[in-house]
Amino acid sequence: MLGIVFFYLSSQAAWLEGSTQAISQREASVILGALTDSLRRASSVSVFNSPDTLHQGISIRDASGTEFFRVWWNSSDSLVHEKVRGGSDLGAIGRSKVETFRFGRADSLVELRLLQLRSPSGERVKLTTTVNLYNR
Amino acid sequence: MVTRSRPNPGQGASSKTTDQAASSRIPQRGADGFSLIEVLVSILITVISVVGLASLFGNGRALINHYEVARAANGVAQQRFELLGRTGTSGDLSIGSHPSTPNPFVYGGATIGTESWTVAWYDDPIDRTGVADSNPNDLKLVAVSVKWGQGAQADSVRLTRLFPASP
Repeated sequence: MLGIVFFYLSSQAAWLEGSTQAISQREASVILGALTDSLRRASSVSVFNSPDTLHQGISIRDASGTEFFRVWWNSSDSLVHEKVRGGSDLGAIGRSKVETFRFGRADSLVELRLLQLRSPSGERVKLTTTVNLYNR
Repeated sequence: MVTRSRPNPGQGASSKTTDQAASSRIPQRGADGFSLIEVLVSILITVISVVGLASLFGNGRALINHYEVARAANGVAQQRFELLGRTGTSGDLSIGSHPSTPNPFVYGGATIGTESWTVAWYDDPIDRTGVADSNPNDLKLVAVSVKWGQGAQADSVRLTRLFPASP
């Protein structure tokens, strides 16, 4: 009986941990997808600290210099927020805490140096990539 | 279950004791309980169920871990395409395998695999294919492979993208 109870509890813990980690992975992909889709259409970008070099944001602009997408790390909830066309904050992308959101730049290449999320169960999800600004 | 024995007239107290002992060993009509076979079969079913569930959870957890690395590998492969498209030299996009020594695939601060790419000619069907096409070298098909080993299992992500024939 004790074994069955132990198995039940540990299986519930494994289920919960696995589910939250999978959700965090999915949310990291959603952030990456939103970012790469916008960056490919962009003509120029500017990276800014929000508020430090480990937690940044990026303003993405079209050929006329108008900002059409912005994502940034919000210190009040440790989540990545977004807004479009200079509007108001549309809220956070995902619910997993973002520990690192760092960019690098070289000419028309934008490098997402590290996007690190932490799932509620403590597992960390890391993603990096580089995107060209194709202006199209 | 309470059993009662009625003493027969003319018999002593020893007869009453024997009746009580016999009635406690022999199952009474309508008495609840399980036979040994039933208990063993139920234990067997429970064990099979628990082992099956444990295997299910283990496999599910392994798949989640696998896709975590696969997502990172996918990002590295995409990154290679973007770099080849912007800063790739004619040597990087020459027909063959690149680089001579595969690049390390780093995840979580540790090198867990390699990253490399191959370039091959691609015959665009828009101007016919095969012998009907006088120049089949229309585009370059670049395939980026990221390979890693996770535990005893080796795994990989392979993405392809078409590039212009002349960069």
